[in-house]
Amino acid sequence: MNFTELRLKVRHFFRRNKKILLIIFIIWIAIFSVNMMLKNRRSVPKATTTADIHTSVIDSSASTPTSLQKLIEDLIDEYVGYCNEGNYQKAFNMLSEECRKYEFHDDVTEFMDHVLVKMPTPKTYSIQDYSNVKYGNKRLYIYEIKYTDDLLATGLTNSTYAYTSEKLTFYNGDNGLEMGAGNFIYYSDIKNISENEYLKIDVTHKVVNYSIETYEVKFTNRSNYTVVVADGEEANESILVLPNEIRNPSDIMSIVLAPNEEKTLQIVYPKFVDDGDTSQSLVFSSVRVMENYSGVGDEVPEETIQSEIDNAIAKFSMEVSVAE
Amino acid sequence: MRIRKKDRVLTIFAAIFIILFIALIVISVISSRGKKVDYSNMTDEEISTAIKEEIDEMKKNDLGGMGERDRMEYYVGSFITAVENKKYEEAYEMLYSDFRKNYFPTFSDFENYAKTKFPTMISVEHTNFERNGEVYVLWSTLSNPMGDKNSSIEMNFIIKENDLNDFDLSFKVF
Repeated sequence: MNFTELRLKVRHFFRRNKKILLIIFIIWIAIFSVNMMLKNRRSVPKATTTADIHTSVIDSSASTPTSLQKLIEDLIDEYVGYCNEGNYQKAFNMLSEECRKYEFHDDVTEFMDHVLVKMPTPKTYSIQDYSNVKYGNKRLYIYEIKYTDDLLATGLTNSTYAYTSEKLTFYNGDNGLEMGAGNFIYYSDIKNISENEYLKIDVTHKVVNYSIETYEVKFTNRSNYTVVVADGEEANESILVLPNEIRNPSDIMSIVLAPNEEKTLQIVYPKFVDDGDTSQSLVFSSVRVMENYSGVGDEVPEETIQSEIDNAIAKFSMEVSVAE
Repeated sequence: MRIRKKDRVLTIFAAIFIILFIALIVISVISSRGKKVDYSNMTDEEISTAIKEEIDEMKKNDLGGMGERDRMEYYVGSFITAVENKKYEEAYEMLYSDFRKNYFPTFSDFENYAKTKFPTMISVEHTNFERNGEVYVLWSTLSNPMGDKNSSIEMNFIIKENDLNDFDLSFKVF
């Protein structure tokens, strides 16, 4: 093959494949140009922080929807502003009806006492989405608010690093975004009853706070004997049943009913709202119907207590469902 | 004839495409070169400002690669270095305005304080760190490496970072 033949072959190749060659050339130019631009682009350094106030601490995959974030920030700012100004009525009015009723008993002075514990003097605050939980068809956004003195303005001079905190809860209600304070999460009607010939137990409702559940329980003694539901003498006398464990009340309860007596009590159980467990039932496992009851304590001999238990007219367990 | 016309349109498009990309490259290169400072026609004052800006830029780039705690320690370090080098005005400027109002209403208040209270040579050890919202708290021990071993001072520094290398600072007045 001489030079002329080679030249003709090359020329023929280029003529035959000119479209493909043109496309390859354009792609190459495009890649080259983008590469050049990226190389010459100056990235602006940013201050990275671990602060992500709208992502849950308990479950980092859960965040507050973007549409609610600013609303929540504004509500908290307004609430803390009123509290700092001492305008307790306005701050109180910001709370949901349920929170005002069940946490503060519709009493602004009770709310004021709560605020003064958290903020005895005007405070600055920081917020953090602590936990997002579902209750019924409501999604609850629980924020932790930390109240501190103005650390920057004092530099902690003549003080130590300390803060108070509370959980504020937000959910979309009938009146828009509703807010709860004082660790109040929600209220739930239970209205479940368990009864027999001696005793009727009526669990009317529960109030859920961040770390406790408070049940209102009405006990009715239907007999002419003393009914002992709990006096500390037996184990697990009044327990909250969870799927895999049981909880005893926060305080030792004394539930002793005189003949035909009716008594309404608040029983408090330790339970975090975001622990993933659902309360199943209240079990009163050692109910005793006593003909003679001398009470318990150091002043009552152990033999007397045991003898009265042994001679009880009836002993039974009662369970009331509290599942929602 | 139709084929020729089609070829010509294709060639025109290709040419426009290539010209556009070449223009983009040229603009990109020129703009990146434009950011490089030409000191040849500058006064001393302008050179000093330009160098300061470039140093600030480098500092920001360095800080951008650091974690939160490292950045806060860097800011406290800047304050300590300024005090140690007797650049009190520079250190005073780093303080949060309300903190200055509360404890050092005038520069001379701070200058007198810094001269008498801080060691002449300062070694810092940061023992603890916490973030509270937008504010960071550092627990630090200041000592004079040449001085008495028992003369160390336990201090808190409070820092709020507005942006990289832009911060407000206060400290536990002792």
